[in-house]
Amino acid sequence: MSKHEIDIFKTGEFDLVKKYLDLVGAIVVVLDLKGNVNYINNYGANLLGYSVEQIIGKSWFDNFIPSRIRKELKDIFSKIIATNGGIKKYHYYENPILTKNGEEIVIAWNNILFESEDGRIIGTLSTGMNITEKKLIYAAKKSYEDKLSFLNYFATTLNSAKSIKEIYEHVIEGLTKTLGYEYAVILAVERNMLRIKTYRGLKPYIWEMPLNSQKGLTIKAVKTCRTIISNDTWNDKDYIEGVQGVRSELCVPIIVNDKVHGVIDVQSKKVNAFSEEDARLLEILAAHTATAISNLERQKSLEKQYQQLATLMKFSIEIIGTADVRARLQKVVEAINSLGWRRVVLSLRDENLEIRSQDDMITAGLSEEEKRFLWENRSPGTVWKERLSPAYEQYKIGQFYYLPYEDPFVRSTFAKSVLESRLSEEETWDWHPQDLLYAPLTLPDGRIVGILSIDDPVDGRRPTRYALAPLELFLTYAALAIENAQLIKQLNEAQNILKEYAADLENKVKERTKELLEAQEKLLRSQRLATIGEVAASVGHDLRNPLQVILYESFVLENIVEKIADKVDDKTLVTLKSHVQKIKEQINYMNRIVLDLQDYGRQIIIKTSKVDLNNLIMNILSTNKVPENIKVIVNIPSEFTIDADAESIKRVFTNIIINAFQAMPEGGTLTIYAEKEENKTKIYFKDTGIGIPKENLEKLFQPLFTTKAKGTGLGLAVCKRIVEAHNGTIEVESELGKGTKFIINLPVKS
Amino acid sequence: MSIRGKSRILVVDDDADILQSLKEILETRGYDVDVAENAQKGLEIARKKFFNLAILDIKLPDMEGTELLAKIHKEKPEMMKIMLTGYPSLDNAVQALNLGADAYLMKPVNPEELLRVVEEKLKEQFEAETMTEEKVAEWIEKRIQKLEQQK
Repeated sequence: MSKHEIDIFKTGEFDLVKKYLDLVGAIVVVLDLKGNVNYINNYGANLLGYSVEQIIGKSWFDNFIPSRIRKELKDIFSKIIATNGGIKKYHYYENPILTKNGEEIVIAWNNILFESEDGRIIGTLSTGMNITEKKLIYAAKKSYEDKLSFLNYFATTLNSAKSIKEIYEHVIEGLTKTLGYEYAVILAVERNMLRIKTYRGLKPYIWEMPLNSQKGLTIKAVKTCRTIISNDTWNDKDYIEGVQGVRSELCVPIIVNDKVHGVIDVQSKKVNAFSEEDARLLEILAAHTATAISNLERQKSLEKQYQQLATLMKFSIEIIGTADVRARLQKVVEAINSLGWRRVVLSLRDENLEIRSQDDMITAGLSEEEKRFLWENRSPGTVWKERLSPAYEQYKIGQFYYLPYEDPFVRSTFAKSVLESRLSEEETWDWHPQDLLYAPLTLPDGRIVGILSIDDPVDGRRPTRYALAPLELFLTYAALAIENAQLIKQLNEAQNILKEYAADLENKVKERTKELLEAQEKLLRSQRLATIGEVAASVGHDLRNPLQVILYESFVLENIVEKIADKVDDKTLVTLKSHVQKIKEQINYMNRIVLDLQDYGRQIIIKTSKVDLNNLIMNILSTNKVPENIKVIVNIPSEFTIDADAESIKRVFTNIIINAFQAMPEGGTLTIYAEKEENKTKIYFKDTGIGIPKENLEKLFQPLFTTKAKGTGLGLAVCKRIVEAHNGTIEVESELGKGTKFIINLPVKS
Repeated sequence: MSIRGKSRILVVDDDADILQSLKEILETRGYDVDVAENAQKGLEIARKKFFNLAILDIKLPDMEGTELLAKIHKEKPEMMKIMLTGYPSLDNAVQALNLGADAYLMKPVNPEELLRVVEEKLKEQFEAETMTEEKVAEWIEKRIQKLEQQK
């Protein structure tokens, strides 16, 4: 050190400088070439914890530099001095100083080399800023950023998780890596409970808490949806000790889609363990967790949708391929069953919403006992009408009615008769085993044909519109299946009715015909026709032999009368003879009756041939004597033929001709003529006789009707039978006093 | 009247009264009369004795009168046979004649008519026999003449 330089420090001028340097908020140190302190300002001395005087003259490096860097700095100092101005005058570097307390304070230095007038280096002037705090802040900042970046990186790990459980495990791993707390736990909201899903560190002795608890910091986090920090748990009224000896707790809710999914909870045995910064980090972790859970749920739901879609398609095909309605409905309930409802009941309902038989209850997932129970405890149609009424509109989700048991009305109304759930508490999420879920099967015209009830969701969750949508498809399927079945049934019924009607019609026609025939038969009987027909033949025959005997006997009698002629007087002889004669006459008459009877009873067999009408009439007229007072005019074209059984038709014509003669006792004219008309032949017998009274015309052809004293009343009846056997008709027109006309219509054979 | 004395007549009818009455009537007229109340008996009697004529009822208890007619006609073609029928029909009449009946009468038959037919048929029979006899005599005569001429 030169004298001049020393002088500077000793002059009054320098005192002014020193006063000024003491005011500077930085450390100012002047070292000589040996490294001893020539000057230090008050700020520097204070920083080191000594007085200025205690420092001056002492070795800077040996006394005020931490020993670990002492040698290094000494070397640097020696080198700087040795370069003798070869290095830059201003030199910035950071190095800590050692205080009287043994603490290190980081100083950022600026150094100036002091030179003598002749250019020799005589010492150093260093000014330094205390940068310890800045350093700490920076370090903290860096750590925070590191953690943040870890968390961000961690987020991708979380998102790759395949299950919620895996997410929980990742989160708790992340927690230990970033924050390293003594105790960490992840809780999840399940129905009305908050349950521990996983933990690290101390073993908890409370595993779950009801959500409606008044206390508990995790519960508070769920309720408020906010981060809860308690750095002095023993004095926190909300704290419940879940782990022994905990003094600080930090709870961050995991909020998924605006709902609290669970809580990330860290605890420490230290007081004031958690800073706001920890809270922010944990919140970020919670946010990542929520995103991961949300993504997972979405993915699961997507997978479920795919499965549902596959199920839907599979069952749709099966349902379409099933013909029978019950088999179809069975498919429907099985489909719903496989879509995540353990018990499915589909019941066919009539117009009063009643089930008619147990067969109309189609189920899936129900035991026989349960089926029986349901059948025996089925609600009447009126109850179902109520349940599907507008009063229940508030419970509607799409076409379904969801009646949560927690609803006071539902609880009071449906507490009984509901089938006991097979779901255990653990299997339910927010579904209550007593919850009711049903939907009507409605036809397009609004008619309800059935009811679907489903129960025991596999995921234990309440139904959402979204979850029920695929089921609605099956509601439609089922309703249509029932409608189709009903239509087919109606069609069949209609067809059957038609068939029955047709058959019935046929039967009716038959019946009517039969009735008619019977009536006719009855009529015939009442007219003694049938009876006569039946007995005539046998009566005729039976009378024949007695008649023969009488005839023979009267002949014998007559012979005897001849023999005794000479033994009695003439008068007696005449009387005897006339008596015998009368007997013979009556026998003849009886014989005619017998003939008529036999004619009538005889079966008429027709063998038609071409008969020359002129010849036939002439034959009849030649064998039956025409009374002298009667004129017969035959006006028939020559070679006029009729299609008839010659013998039978001859009887008819003979009968009519003889009747005509008898109708003209005072004489008259019988005109016989004929004509052809389309496909029939008309033969007329017209007399100028006494005529037939109107009232007798109808009875004319009835058997046993006669106006003659000794007529049998069978003649015209036989004629009618014979003509009808020819498929012809016989008509009569008559006027009293003027005469009668018989018309015989015979068909012409082609 | 038969040339060879009393003509023999067989009557077959199931009615005993008829048999009795007709037998009396025919016997009064000088015929030799046998009666049978069924076809089988009639057939037996006809086989044992010679009859010029038979009066057969068309309805018999054991067989149809037409059947009896056919049987008798086959065995005794020369016997005259008169059928009595209950109901007149052309079919019946034709059938009866084809089966060998010589007359066909309807019951109840007038006894005078019956006697007339019986006599007529017996006459026909007699004439047929006479014709045959005359022819045989003629043949013999001619044969003798021939033989005499040959001498």
